[in-house]
Amino acid sequence: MTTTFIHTADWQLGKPYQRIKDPENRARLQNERFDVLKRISQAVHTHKAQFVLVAGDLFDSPSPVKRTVARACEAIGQMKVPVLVIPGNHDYGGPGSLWEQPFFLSQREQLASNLHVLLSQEPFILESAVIFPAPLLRRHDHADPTLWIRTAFESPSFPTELPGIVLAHGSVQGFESAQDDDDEEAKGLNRIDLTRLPDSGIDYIALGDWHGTKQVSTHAWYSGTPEIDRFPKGADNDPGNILIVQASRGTAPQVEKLTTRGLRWNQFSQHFSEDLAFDAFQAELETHIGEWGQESLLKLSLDGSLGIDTSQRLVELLGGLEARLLRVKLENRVAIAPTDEEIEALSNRPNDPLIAAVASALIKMTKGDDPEIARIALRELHSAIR
Amino acid sequence: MRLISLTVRNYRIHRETTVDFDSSLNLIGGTNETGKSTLAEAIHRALFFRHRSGGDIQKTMKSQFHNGHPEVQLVFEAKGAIWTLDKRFSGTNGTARLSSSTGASFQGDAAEAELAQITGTPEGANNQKQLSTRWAHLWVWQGTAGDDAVVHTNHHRNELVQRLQDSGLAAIMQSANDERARGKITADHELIFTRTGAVKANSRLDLANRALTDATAALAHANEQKNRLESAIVEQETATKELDASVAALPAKRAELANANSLLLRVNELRHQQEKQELVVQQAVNHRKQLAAVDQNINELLRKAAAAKEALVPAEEKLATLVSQESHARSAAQDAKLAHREISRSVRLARLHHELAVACHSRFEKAAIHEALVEKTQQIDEIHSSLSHKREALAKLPNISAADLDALRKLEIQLGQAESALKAIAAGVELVTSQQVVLLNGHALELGTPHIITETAELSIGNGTLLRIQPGGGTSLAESRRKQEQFQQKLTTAFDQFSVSNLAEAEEIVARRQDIAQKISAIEGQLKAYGAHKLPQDLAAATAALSAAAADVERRHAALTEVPAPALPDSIEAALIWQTNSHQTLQAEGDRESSLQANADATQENFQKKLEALDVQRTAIEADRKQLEYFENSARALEQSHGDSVARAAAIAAATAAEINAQATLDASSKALAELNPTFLNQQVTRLTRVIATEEEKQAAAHTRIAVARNTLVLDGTSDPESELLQAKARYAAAEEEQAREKRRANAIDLLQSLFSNAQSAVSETVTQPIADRVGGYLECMFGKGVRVSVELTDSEKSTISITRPNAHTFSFDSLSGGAKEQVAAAVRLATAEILAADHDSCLPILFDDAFAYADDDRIQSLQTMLDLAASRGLQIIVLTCTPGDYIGLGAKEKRLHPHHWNNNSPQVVAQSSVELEDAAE
Repeated sequence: MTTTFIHTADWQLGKPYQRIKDPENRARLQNERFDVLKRISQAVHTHKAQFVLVAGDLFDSPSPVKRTVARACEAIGQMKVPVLVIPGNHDYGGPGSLWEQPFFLSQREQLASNLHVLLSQEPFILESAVIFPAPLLRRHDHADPTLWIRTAFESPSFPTELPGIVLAHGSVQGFESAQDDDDEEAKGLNRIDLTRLPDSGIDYIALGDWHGTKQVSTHAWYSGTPEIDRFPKGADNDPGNILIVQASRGTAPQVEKLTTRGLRWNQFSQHFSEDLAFDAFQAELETHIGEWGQESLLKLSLDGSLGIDTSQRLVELLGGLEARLLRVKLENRVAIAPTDEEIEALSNRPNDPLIAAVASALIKMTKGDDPEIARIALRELHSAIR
Repeated sequence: MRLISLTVRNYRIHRETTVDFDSSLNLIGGTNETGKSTLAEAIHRALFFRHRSGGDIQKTMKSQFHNGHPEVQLVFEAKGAIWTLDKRFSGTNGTARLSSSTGASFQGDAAEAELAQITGTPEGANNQKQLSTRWAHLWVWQGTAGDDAVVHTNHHRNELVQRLQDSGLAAIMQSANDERARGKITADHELIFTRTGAVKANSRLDLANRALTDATAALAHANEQKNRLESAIVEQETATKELDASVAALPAKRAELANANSLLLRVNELRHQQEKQELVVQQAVNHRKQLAAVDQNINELLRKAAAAKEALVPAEEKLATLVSQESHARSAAQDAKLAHREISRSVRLARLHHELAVACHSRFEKAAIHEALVEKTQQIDEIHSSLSHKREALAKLPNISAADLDALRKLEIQLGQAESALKAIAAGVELVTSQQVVLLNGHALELGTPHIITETAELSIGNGTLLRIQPGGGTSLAESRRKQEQFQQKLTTAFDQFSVSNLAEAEEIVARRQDIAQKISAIEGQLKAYGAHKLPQDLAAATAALSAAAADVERRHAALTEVPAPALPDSIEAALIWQTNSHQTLQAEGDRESSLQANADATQENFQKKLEALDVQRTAIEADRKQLEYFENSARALEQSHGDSVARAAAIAAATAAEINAQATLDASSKALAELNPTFLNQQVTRLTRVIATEEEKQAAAHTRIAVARNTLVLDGTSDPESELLQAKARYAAAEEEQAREKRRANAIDLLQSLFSNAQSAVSETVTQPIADRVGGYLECMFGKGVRVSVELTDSEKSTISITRPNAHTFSFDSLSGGAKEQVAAAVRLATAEILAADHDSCLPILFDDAFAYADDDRIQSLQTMLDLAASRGLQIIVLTCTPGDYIGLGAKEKRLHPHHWNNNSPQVVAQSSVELEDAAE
């Protein structure tokens, strides 16, 4: 028997995007995480998926606000097919968790009767598959939450002719679920040992936690997050997808990646060694952003040094970008280094003895132990005499 | 600028005073109150005080002595022309006019404006504060000479700088760019910092600092909220674990408790059995003891019976002895009693004899008494006969007593008195002669017999004549007549009573009665003396006694029947002898009787004792026998019920066996009980009960904790603590970054400010050096060659002048003495004026008003040298002093002011001549 389903994870609904200062932009990013659910619904329909697996971190937090809960239930309800969810490290279950909160339960009942939150280590039997959930009942668990599955196979209480699918959240042996800038989790927790799973009977392992789409074994995949929520690290990090999976008993699964992301998360780096390069940089950056400024987030890594004037241009450029893009994450390590001309212009002023004296002192200080203040002072002086 | 002349009018003390100035050196001398300082002030006011100003400044200028408003006319040379300045200070009506030798003329405000142009100061001042800054370096007011002149110089710093630059004295001067840049940095600095260097409120740095503080607090709050939730989760987990553990552990504890309780039930059962078995053992022991006691009792009884029987033998022997003794004593007592009875009879006979003898004697005595009494009776009978005769005689006489006689006598006297009284009152009628029958009240009157008429009486004489006589005296007459009749009646009655006819007869009878009475009394006395009244009794008694005595003798004699009766005595004497003899015999027999009586008593007593001893022994033996009988009966009765000794021994053996058996059963129970260890069981039950209670409490507490934690975990869904925390962290990071940025910028601005300040100081130094050099030139006059001076111009009001003398250390202005301060200040003023003079046709007036109060003679000399040097360098020196003699060496043009003399009655007139201005040279 073959079953078709959608494997997704790490929706992280309600993510605060706290580093984005502009509230409108923040809301835009938050909404985008709900918008992608519509695209998933569309995919369910298009691919005639029989169910949807969400491998943890449906919510960004174990205590989402009502609005987030209600919107999530509404979006899931739209998917029509069974949506099976396990709690991940962000929305872990356990006593008093959101999954037990009266509001969630009532919303699920009203809006998402197709939503099944699998909180117990027991098989969940669907018409076309048996799901072996590995819910996280606490944020950090040292025990492998899939350990029970091998035991379950010793005396099966489920139809063994159906494809067996493991639903888990965490890092797997040999592949560290990398910690990105938003997570402060300790490594080595919530580990899943795939080798401990039964040798037969498991036809697909739907993993969550790693935000990029990644195959980790014949049967095991990280679907990644359907909507990018951070600047990806690493070249092969490929977030913003869902997986359309066809699984059948005893054969390797057929997995198709479907891109669902809405917003563009760009990264750009530049090393400044001379002021003359600034114009080229500006042009290149412009090309990179293109016409998607309003849908773009940019991680800009800058280093090297610029003269006072050019530094000022950079400041102005950055100001423009910040206003224009959804977000500019700036790693600015560019030092202000007055050019020879600037030094000459500031210090060689026979008619302005005070300015010349002050500038000379500052230039001398920029070569000292604590040059930063002196550089800022130079910039201020520079602007004062304009 | 150079002053040429000054004229003041109506200005305080001055009515009108004019001073002409020398172009270089001027000395205005005058004692106090001569108006020197007023002249100095007048020049200053003319140049700088706005002409239309009023107020206190203008008022103080007005004269108390002269009419008219204060006026000042100043002629001076400036900008290549001669100027005449006229100002009248009359408040808002004040006027100003400035005209020049070149024909220019200005009025009012235009004049002020032109004047400001010439003096290089702001237009006319109108208050003291402004005034005090105008050419303050040139006007050394009285009392201010020691002030730090550098402070005044600061006001003219820009001019100085300008001058120095123009003259090429300074190589590096700040430019307009410098000024602008510095101004901007200063403005930026002021936006961030206060004067004291603290961060200014609401500056960007301050806002950033505060935002960071707020973000820190918000982060802490968010952390706390998040931790609260996480703690609740942990709490719930912990409590659940504890609850589970407790729930798991409790059944085992309960089972243990149940087991211990069932064992305790067994313990109770065993204890119950043990109690019963103890009772059985006790009963067995008692039974055995009882049997043994009975056996012992019987044996004891038998032993006692044997002993009693043995003890009875000597007692009975003693009894026999006692019986014999009693018998002997009894016969002895009877013998003694017989002997005593014999002697008693003998004694009785003796007594009878004796009593008879006594009776005989008594009979003789009684007979003698009786005879005497018979004789006496005969005598008394004779006396009684005589007495009867006398009494008869007395009885024949009327019984009138002496008292009766006295009463009769009294009555007769009273009658006599009553008759006399009647006669005295009543009428008396006495028929003396009559032929006719005269009847008084029908009674014929007898001749010669007077009648007393005491009441109305009818006296009829013959026939036909009837006289009614009415005696006088009224009722008194009737009373008197009634009394007379009463007494008459009483007396008659008395006489009738005593059967006498008159008083004499009565008196005789009384005398005879007294005589007889005396004789009777004598006889009665005699009888009494004889005792006649009891004689008959005595006689009767004597007769009776005699008869009794005779009878007694008779009877006693007759009584003596057992022995031959003795012959009775025939005389009293014989009777007496017999009485004596018989008495002696009686006494002897009595003594014998007493002896025999004692013997009889003793033997009787002995007998009684023996008898008692016998009774005691008999009683004792009887008791012993009863005891013996009791022992024998008791033993017999017991043996009947308990069998003989063999049977009893068998019974005791059986009882002992039963006891051993019961004890064994009891021991078995005790052992079983000990094995159960009830103390331990009880402890265990207590412990387990406590453990269970504790566990139950723990469970309850855990339930509560879980409920509380769950309560905490139930969110209202309006905010997400996790998300809030992330946002708080982001905000904190942003605030931190912002604060660091602002801090860096503030530090940069501060650095710039400080660099600018340093740079400016360096520039200032180049400005002040020429001043210092010039000051040094002046001070060489004072401190000698080689003195070095440094001056710093700053924004502050603080002096920054310092002086270094050759071979001495540097000292500051403030550390100078008063005189030195005056002189150094003067040097600074002169130096400044010298430089600034370039703007004023190379000349400026400089005025010292009593400026060197502290100067001694030497210093005055060096001062004069200094002033002379200044004059030679183009300055116009004006010295006002009250001691002009001190300045002879200056060689100045001298004006002297003299004190004014005025008449109080006409100040006006005096005022006109109040100022005498003399040219000292004249």
